[in-house]
Amino acid sequence: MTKAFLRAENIVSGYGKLHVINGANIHIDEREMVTVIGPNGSGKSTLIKTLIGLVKIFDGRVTIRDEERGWLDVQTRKRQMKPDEIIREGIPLGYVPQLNNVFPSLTIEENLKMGLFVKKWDSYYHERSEQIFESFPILRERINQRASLLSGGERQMLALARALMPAPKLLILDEPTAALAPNLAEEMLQLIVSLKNTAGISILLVEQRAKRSLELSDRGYVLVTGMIAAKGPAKELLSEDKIRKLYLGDRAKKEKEVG
Amino acid sequence: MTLPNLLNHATLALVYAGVLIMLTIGLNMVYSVLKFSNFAHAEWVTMGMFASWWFLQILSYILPWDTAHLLNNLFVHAVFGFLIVGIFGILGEVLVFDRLRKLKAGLDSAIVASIAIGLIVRNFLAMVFGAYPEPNRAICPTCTSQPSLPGFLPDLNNIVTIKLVENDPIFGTQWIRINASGILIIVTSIAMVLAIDYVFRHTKFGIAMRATADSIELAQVSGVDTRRIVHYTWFLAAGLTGMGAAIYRPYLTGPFNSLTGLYMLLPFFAVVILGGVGSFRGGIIAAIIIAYARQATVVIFSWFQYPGGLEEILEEHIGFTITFSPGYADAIPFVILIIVLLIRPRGIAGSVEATRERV
Ligand SMILES: Nc1ncnc2c1ncn2[C@@H]1O[C@H](COP(=O)(O)OP(=O)(O)O)[C@@H](O)[C@H]1O
Ligand SMILES: [Mg+2]
Repeated sequence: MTKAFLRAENIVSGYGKLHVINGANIHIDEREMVTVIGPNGSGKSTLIKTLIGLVKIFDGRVTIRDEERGWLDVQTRKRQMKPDEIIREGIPLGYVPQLNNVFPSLTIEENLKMGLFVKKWDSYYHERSEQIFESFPILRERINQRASLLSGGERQMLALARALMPAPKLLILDEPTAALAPNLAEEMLQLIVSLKNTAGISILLVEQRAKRSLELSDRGYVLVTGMIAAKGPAKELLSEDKIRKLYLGDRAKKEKEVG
Repeated sequence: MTLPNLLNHATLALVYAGVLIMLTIGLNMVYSVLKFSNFAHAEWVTMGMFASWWFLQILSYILPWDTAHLLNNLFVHAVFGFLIVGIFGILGEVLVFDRLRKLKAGLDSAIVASIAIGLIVRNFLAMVFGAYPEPNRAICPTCTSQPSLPGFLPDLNNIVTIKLVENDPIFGTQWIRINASGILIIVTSIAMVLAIDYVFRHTKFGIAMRATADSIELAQVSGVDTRRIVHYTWFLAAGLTGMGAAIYRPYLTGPFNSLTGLYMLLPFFAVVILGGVGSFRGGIIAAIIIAYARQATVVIFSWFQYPGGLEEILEEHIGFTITFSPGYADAIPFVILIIVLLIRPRGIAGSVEATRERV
């Protein structure tokens, strides 16, 4: 029924000679929301950066299904596509990094246009931005301001809006709520879920708010020291005692056990 | 007492501001995209002078009939300066800076490398040209070191004087006195500023360049080929500097040599830092401030040297001689620089936001 969209098989990747990811398998289906959780430094950011070619891949491969062209090898040890190549190839990916996710010295309009960089942005910008402003009205009001003048929450909105400009099929988000107050974080997560539900976008989410994001997701992965320690439907992960204790901040139980 | 010739000083300052603008745009551009201070910038200036000078000689040699300067004119020399220095800029990236980056060398290594490149080029030029370049009239009797402009501005040393008042008891003499070369510097610097501002703000290439300066990774995931942007940055930054140097050369009163650019490097850095490193508009404002502050100091110092001025007063009453030679005004840009940095640590255009973003 649902079709796979992205597959990453036996990924080994890292920086320089350092292996950070040691043989991870993940996949994302169409219209699916998948969350990756795991302790700090376990390699979550590295894993998703590997998918888009920001990190060197030592072994394994990443493939993405294209409507017309079928399965495309995006990352293999032999040929690694750089992020700009992937975008120029017309592979409908959107990525919002954990840090530095807007262009601070560009105006909001220019930031949004950068989302359309590989297209003829003059002809698409108007139509796409009107659609984006429906979800992010605040961006329209401040369209000619520099992004550096935005608050943390507004920046996160802009980062997401920029990634949505080219109408991607898969959105990869690295801790989009990290810098947000709890109420804003919940708003952001709801917005992300609505993207999946209304626009049919697949979501790959890395989150510190592990419990809440699993509750909203279809499936989840637990990444520990560069390996997938657990995976499955989000509901199952949420109900597993060990995972709740170790990764979901179920403090009451943890303390009981220690005490 | 009568006023000094303020109008004339203001004109001189305007030309100096134009020179600073033309020759610092490239330094700023490289900093904003590549995040390091390129000390070889001094040699881009020197090379621009040598390249345009050489082209003048070559054109004089192969086009002896071109006495009307249809081809052998300053504009053509400036374009040549742009290309040669621009290519040199790309070469630095391909041969040195790109390799350093791939080896994960830090920005400090890039700075030291740029100092080394500058030193090599400077000494190479000295080896080839000696103290200063001179045309070889045995080979090329028509050669000259005077660059020329066609028809409408025939002689760059031709001085235009517009007198507003002369020997007025209060206003003294006020005139605007400028030669064709000075006018060309002002016009070129304004044209450069307008053109670059347009490119940065209204073209896809310019926006991509600013985006790359903000975040290489984010630009890449937006589909920007950042390596290409980096190459264009070097070409444009070096080229504009080479072109500016070619336009500036005829304004020099003495012959230039392999050290000419180096002597100007500190004022260049003063402009860039005062403006807020990497800020195009800040740099323009800083160039104007520095040029006018320097010239104002010249006026004040000369005034101190008048009969009955501060210099005499000090000597008579304290028996202590301080020479207020206008030449010492060269220190003023740095006095301003330090004062501004104490108030705004990131320069005129640098903001607290920018600091936050770099974390
Ligand atoms: N640019 C880098 N160069 C070298 N090592 C890095 C780099 N980025 C991250 N690492 C290392 O990779 C490991 C995983 O980091 P990261 O993927 O950021 O973890 P997470 O996102 O799960 O917190 C950490 O040990 C970190 O120190
Ligand atoms: Mg991370």
